[in-house]
Amino acid sequence: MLLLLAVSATPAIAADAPTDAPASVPTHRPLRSHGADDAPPAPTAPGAFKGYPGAPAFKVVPQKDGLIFFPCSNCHAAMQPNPMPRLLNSPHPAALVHGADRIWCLDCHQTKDRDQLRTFAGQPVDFNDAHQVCGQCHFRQHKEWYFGAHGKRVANWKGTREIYNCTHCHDPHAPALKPRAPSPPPPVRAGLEGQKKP
Amino acid sequence: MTEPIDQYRRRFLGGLAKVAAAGGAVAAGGAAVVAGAASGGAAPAWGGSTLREMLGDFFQEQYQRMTPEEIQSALARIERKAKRKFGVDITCEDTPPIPGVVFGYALNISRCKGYRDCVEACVKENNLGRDSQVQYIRVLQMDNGTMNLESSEHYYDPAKVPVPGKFYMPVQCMQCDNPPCVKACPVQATWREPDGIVAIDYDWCIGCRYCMDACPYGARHFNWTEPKIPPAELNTHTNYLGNRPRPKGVVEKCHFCTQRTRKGQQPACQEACPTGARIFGNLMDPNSEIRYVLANKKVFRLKEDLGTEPKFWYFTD
Amino acid sequence: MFSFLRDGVRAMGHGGRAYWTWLAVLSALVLVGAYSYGLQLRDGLVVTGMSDQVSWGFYIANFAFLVGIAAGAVLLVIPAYVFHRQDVKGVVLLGEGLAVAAVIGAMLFVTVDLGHPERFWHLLPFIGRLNFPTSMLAWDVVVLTTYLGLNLAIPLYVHYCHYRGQEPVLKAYFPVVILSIFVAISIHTVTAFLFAANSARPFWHNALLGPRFIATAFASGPALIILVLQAIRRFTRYPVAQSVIDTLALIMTISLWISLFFVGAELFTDFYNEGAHAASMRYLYFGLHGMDALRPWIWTALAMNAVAVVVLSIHALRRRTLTLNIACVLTFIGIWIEKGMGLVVPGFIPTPLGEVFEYTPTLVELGVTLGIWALCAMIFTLLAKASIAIELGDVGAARRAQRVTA
Repeated sequence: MLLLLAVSATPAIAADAPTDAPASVPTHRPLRSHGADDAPPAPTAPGAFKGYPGAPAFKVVPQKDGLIFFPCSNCHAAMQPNPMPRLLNSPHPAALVHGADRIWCLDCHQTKDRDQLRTFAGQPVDFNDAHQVCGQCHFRQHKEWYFGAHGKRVANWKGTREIYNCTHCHDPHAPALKPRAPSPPPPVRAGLEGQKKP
Repeated sequence: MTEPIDQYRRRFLGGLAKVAAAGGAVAAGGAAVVAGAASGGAAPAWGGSTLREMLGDFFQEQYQRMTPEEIQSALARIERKAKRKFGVDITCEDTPPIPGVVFGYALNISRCKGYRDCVEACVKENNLGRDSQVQYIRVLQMDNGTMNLESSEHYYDPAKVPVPGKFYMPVQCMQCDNPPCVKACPVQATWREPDGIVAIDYDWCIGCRYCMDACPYGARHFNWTEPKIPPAELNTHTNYLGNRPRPKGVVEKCHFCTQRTRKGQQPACQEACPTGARIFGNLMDPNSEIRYVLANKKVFRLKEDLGTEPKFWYFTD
Repeated sequence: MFSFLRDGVRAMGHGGRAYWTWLAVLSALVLVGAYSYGLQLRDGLVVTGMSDQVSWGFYIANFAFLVGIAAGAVLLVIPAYVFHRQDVKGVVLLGEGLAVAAVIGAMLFVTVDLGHPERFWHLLPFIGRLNFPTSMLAWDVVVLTTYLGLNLAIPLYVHYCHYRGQEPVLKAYFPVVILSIFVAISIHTVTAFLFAANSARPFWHNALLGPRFIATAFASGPALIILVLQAIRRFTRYPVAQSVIDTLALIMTISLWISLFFVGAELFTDFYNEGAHAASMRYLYFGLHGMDALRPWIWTALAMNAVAVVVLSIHALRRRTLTLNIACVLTFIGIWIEKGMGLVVPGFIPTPLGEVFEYTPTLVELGVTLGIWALCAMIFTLLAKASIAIELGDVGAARRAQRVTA
């Protein structure tokens, strides 16, 4: 009896006071700061991509010689450029399965000089440096490719680092890797083939 | 302290070998032996091996205890044995570890598509018996949403990989820094080399398979039968601790292709992988790709809680 | 010394029809074993049913069981020498002979399991590269060899004294006996640690494995000794006191109860909150993913042990020879199944990578196993023959005295 009185007499411990604030005010901390403490980064003029600082040096395995129709200017030097986004005929790929219709050919290929690619800022890019183009959207993979966590190194693990360009594995017009048949499953020990159940 | 014991043991073994050789020459069947020895091993007695070869084989020391001369004669014996068995000339070297190098491996399970190109390349590069079940790499097909190995499929054989809803995780020797197999071996036939590779001396292993019990990754394999390699497909560039042809009755496993990696080349599995899922390099080099992966990607190791300290990491994009 | 050995061996050559028939049967089985092993040497271990997935099988199962039998001899040594039971002292030398046969059998089972048995010299210290004290297999080699040596040395000494008509000097060999008691416990503990050391194998990696090994050894060891002592009583003139058999039966009963308690403890621990670590236990008792080759075996073993322990616990039944012998046979076979295949094989299923791949011993494995068991029986028979001849005075000083007076 006394216990009950004592418990009820004690004021509430650590009771939260109800807020009077209206429900529409956000309670999280905003990510975009106004009047931030950090100084803004030094401005740089748009131009050629300068690479990622600290990345180990590498050589890209050249690929241009493997392109069937290169140099493209063989045909295009004589043709009038048409900047209208549209589907093209052979020998160009029938469709661009890349970017879900957000981009088309002349977003990556130079209009004036078909032997070069281009960046968003209009800088020319050699076909052997195609990664500069891909890396604009796929910057996460681009950075990892610079540092070696993406893509394929060849020739050695020690010595001059030689790596493949993006387009070596990814067809730029249909980059997704196609499923293919695997090599056969591991063999079971000789004489025990009947042991394995499916 | 071990020096005098070493010399005593060498003299003892050498003496035993000479006594056995002398006794063997006198023993019954000496005629066949003499004929075999005279024709330089061409006669088919005891599978073509001379008595001298067999005794040399029998009394061979463990690799870490061999003098450079003993290693050279062991290498020559291996080359001759391969010639008898396969009719192919091979070279067998002793490739020492590169100083200042500890190998590490990382595998991107977002990139692995389950092709098993790595498995095939390993079989060819390392002279694995084509029918003896030994494959150093096993690719597990796992269900999305779980890391439970018990639900993995080892023998997947669909028309096309990757199968939707699955991911692929190749498993091979992790070259642990705290390897339970090295502790288990009763004759010290397996040990950790300075560059981190867990090596096996195939001529010292007695085939008790206790190391296979101890390995938490199923990475060690036993030659239940004589490994059969088509002579035309034999990889003739071999080394003692790596891919030289092995006898039946011994344990073997992935060694990160010591015959290649100790010369700066990539392991066969990394070279073969078409998706670039495999990253390999020197953990002591802060600028290496493997170090970048370990510092910047979300990596994990299998069964890390067992304290084995594997040097094979997995990561995702 | 030479005449002692010569007379001992000669005693092995004298026997009745039963003796020679027994030896002939054993020899035939040993030949079967030798032929089977020859096949294995020629073709490699591919003639067995083992695989990368289940890399230890019938041979190591029998090895583990036989080490237990060898350790069981300590149950005669302790009452004889520590508690000074004279009745037990009469048969302790036979028990040590059984231990010798069992240890040799265990060593043979390991040898036939090796891929390169001719490289055995790699196990020798200094000449080879024995990985002592790190490797538990190296420990096993050391303690088994020591145990074999001790169990040969002590009876040799005692028999030699009796042969010369003298009493053995207790002070000389008592410390060796005490050492052999500790070594007996150590051989089976080390064999248990061999398995329990593997953190990669959850089925074995538990602290109870050592106690389980000892408890089952102390149940199956006396079971065999009771049957063997009755055979000695039946086929020789050597007296075996009934009190010895009563004592052994009592020890066996208690050990069997403890063993079954341990089994219960393991089942509870694994199945109450069943996780991935219980997969091997589930495979053994209930099957896993439709594969259940061992299930009938383990339930039979459990039933055998349960029946045996109930029979043994009933005083009247334990006293009756027939029911005691039935209980002994049930215990022996039940523990052979449970500690042999029921221990070794589930440790590999599922594999560390989750694969379920079963194992069945092949005819070659069965042949070699039969041969080794027959060889053990033969070794014990021959040792017992010589031992009994010396103890009964058929050879040695007493005999020579008889001949002189005759």
